[in-house]
Amino acid sequence: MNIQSGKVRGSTPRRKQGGSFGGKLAAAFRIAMILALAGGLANAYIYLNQKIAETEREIRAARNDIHNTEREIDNLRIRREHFCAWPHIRQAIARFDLKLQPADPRQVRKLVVIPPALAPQVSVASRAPGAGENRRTPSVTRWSQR
Amino acid sequence: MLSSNESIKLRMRLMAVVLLPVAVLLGVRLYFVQVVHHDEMYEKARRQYTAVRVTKGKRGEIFDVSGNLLVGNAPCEIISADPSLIKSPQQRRAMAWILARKLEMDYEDVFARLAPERPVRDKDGNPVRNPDGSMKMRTMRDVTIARNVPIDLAAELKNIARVNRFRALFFREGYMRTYPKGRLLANVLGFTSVDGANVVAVLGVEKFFDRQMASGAGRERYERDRTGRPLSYGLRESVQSRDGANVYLTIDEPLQAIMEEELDAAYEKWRPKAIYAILADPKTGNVLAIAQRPTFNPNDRRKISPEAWRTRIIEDGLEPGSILKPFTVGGALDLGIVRADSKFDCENGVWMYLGKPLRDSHPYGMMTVADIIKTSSNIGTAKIALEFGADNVYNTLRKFGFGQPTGLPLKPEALGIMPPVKRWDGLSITRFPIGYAILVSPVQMVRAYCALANHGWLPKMRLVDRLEDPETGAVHPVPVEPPVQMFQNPETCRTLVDMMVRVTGEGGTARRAAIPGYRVAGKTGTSRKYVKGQGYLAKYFASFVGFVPADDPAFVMLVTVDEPKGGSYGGTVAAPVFRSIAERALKHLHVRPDPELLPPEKR
Repeated sequence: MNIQSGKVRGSTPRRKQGGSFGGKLAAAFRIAMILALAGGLANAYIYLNQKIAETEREIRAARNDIHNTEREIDNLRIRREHFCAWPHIRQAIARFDLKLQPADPRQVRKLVVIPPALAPQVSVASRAPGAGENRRTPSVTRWSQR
Repeated sequence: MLSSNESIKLRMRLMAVVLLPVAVLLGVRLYFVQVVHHDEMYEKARRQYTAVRVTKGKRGEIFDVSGNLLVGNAPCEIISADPSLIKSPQQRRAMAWILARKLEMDYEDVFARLAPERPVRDKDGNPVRNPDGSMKMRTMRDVTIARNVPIDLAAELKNIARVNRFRALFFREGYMRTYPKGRLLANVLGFTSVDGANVVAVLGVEKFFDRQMASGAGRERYERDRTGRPLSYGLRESVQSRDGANVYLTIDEPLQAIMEEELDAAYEKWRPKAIYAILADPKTGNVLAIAQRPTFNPNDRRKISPEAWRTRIIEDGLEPGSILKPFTVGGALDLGIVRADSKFDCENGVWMYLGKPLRDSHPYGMMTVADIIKTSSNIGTAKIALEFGADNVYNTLRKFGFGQPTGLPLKPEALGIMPPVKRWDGLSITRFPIGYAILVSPVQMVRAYCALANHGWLPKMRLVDRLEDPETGAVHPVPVEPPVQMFQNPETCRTLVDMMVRVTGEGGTARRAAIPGYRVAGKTGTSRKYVKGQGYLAKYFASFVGFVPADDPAFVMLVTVDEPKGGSYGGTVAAPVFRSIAERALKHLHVRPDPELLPPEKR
């Protein structure tokens, strides 16, 4: 009996080394897809970060502009207050010879606007000229004259 | 000879012998770096890419009652330089020339500041020398060229620096305290000073409300890139800076301006040592205007003297003289001890009491209480006080607030000198009621007159109306405290006011305080100045205090002139100042005159 030691071929055919061309292509495609996806994700991540950084730069620039504008407003406010000071106004009146003088208190009448909701509550008598005259503390619900 | 395989095996073993210990060492090192010293190394790395920026909030501002700005913060820049970055002596000269011209500074001074090196000096100011005898120098990295540079000028300089490539110049943002109304209310507002990076409140409202007005510092910590910009994905922690509270005073800026203008005119006319005035609302105790001369411009404090910046109205006490008389008389009227028509002998101008003479400015005979006030008789008032009694005089004056704080938020406040009865001598009862030998502050006097103007109700004085949080807009009003009743008899005050109206009428001491169309109630005061060791000098305080219209006063006002030249009486010196301020103030407040008090052609 001639017994030969060795590997007996199975019933399934042994896969050829390297496989078929189609299989190789599919595998390469899959790897390429995975790499492309990874690359795409990385790119998207970088792109987003870049956009965030750009936006932040723009925000910083806008904030800086706002800050500078606020400082300019502050500066203008101080200058306006300086120009509103009485010595400055007096000089301007003299310079332009404006002939201004304070009103005589008898020339001044203060009318208090009655809100529509309160108007019906104001009696006719209290609306008469001179009625309810209050020299210094006008009431909100009636005419008052100073 | 080794076969090829054996040779490879040997080389591999040799490499293993060399590399394995290296790998082990690296591993150990890695363990120490990553595990043992992890925190320390991590912190070290973070320090390199983490930046901290400290921000400062704005100090609170001060406004008048209507929101007119009195003290504000003007944006400015601090210009500094790093002389080590100056490229050449030519550039240094050019920088110094431009900076000196634009900032109105001395060229030599700026040029010296831009020196890249300066000699090291010891504590005595002598230069330190090296062993070889040469001077020891230190490199200058940061020198301040100018502070408080206006932003438009700083922008111009930035542009020049960019065009000329002055990389050694640096600009830092800041705020400077500014007083847009100049001298207006300067003594009350006070001022701040700068100590390094800190703001130090020196005087006035600035000092009293320093805690509320001070700003809080903010801090931002962030990871940065190579250029110093914050990383979008890095760590970022920030504590916001906080702005100080805004203070709204009870002062009315137009009234204040009127008062200051009239005081300037009087200061020029009478050339006194000092002059001051206070105008207050008797109903609320609100101080509407308060001013003094001499004063100072807080925007330029290089030449101010203590005489100019001391707040006399609060810090000084004065012997008030006759303006104190209505209180003793009022107390006696209220208890029914005297009546308006009770008569007293005024001894023809000189009265000897306990061996000491007491004089009137003019000789008077028998006079009613009303005439005693009208003519300001010292003898008549002293006799009323004797009938009233020492305890009653003292209690009445104390009740009107003399010798006590007024409630104004200013320090230091003079309380005056009001000795208790047990420390009085025999003459005190005849001297205190006429305003001698006691000290009161001008604010105390105005407060007491507010009670007379307010139908006998004594208010607490107010200078601050409200505080405002600038971030939230929340307003915290300073409450008006209820007034205290002074007289038991409601008629007392009316009688006393009628007497005081006669002071500004025909035959009164203050005819020059009268205003056509208005009933003016008031009292003059002329007191000699007492100097310790020298006694009473021929120098005077001339005062007038009054209110108008007498029946429903819009305000109470005190004017005091300290050592006027060319006059000494309150009715001559102070009353016209009262009138000039009051006339304009009444117009500003639109207080209508009484047609019956006007001449027919003006009705």
